[in-house]
Amino acid sequence: MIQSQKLKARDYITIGLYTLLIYLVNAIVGMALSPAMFVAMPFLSGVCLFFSSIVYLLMAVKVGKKGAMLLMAAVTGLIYTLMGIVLMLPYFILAGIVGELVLWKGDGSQYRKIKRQSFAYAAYGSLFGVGNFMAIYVMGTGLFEKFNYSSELIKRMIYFAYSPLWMAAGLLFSFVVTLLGCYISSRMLKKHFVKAGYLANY
Amino acid sequence: MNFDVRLQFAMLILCSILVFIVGTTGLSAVAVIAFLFLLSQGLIKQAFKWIIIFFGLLVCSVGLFHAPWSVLNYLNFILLIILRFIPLLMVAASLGVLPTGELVAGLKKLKIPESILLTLTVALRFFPILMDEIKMINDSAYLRGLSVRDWRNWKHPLILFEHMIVPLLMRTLKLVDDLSASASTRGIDAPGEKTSLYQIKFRQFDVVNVILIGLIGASLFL
Repeated sequence: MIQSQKLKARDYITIGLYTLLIYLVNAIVGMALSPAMFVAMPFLSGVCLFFSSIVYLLMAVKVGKKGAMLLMAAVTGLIYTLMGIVLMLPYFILAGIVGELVLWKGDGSQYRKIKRQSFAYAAYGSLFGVGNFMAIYVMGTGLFEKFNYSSELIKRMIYFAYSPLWMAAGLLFSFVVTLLGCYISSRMLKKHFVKAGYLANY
Repeated sequence: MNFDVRLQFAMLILCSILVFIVGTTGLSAVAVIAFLFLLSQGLIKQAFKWIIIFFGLLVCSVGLFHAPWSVLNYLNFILLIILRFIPLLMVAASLGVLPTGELVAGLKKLKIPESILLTLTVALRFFPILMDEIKMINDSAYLRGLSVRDWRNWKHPLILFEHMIVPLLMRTLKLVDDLSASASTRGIDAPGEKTSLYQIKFRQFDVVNVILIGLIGASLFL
């Protein structure tokens, strides 16, 4: 079956719904993990993406076209914008473009390959992890003081943000954990969705 | 009667930026303005519900702020984040009652590309539906003893997650199919300019919203 490579209304609807679901999973896991912020803040978003990877893989394989990753990143950025962090929009678009670049090479069938999509999501994920600290770099700490964060936490956050070792470790950790999440997710997808006939062509 | 969609969005974005930069007094002012915003559109029940929640939590957090124990301090930290989001939810609640057609027509006037527009509307629209689905799945999981409410299940977080996410994804697959079938029978893929039943124009009533936007901007100086 020859399929067009352009996104259609159906794909937009799919991406919209699953983007929201990815956002929700990230938010819920992030909330549950927030006590760990003191100890290992750069590592948290990796764990969030570990859980949301199944949603992304299902979406990516179902759409299977160029631009799905970018559109997902842009809409995630827009959701953050509506929640007040306008800064995140260009940053997420950047992360989405990096993800698309990972997927770029190939004849068009790579968009349906779980392996390639996993690497793309891991690349997106490692940038996503640093995103939390962008607000600190750009706006400084005055923001958090007004936010009534305790001074201990602010000190901790600055320590993480300006320590290259922690940041590099955070990037690497997000990449590896997201990839691991994708591996487990692909097993889960095989177990539940391929057997049920929802994902036939992968 | 609703305000113009574009003004409501301006209000939402302004409000969302403000709640992160104002102090506690400013935040209360923003909440009161959001309360007036809902009230002037006739959403009386929601307006009172949210404002009561807001001030209830505010009183709790002020009480906790002076607590000596660090556990309570931590609880306060979560409470403060929730508190910041309530004015946003108030403004978003009025967008939530708009018919989707009007929302899309209004946003289209802002020259947002159709791909992003469609994806974003679906994402925003589906929020309450997904929440309902999650609740239903959790209820049926509860009957089988697999619920998140049972602390014993938290010993295996991955399995717990699997039990939640797989039915949810199955349901969303179905939802996507239904929604795109319904959209394509209405000609969403048709080429050409699309028109809307809803006329998007500024009316006299919208002056109230402009005043509220001015007020909310002024709360920055509190």
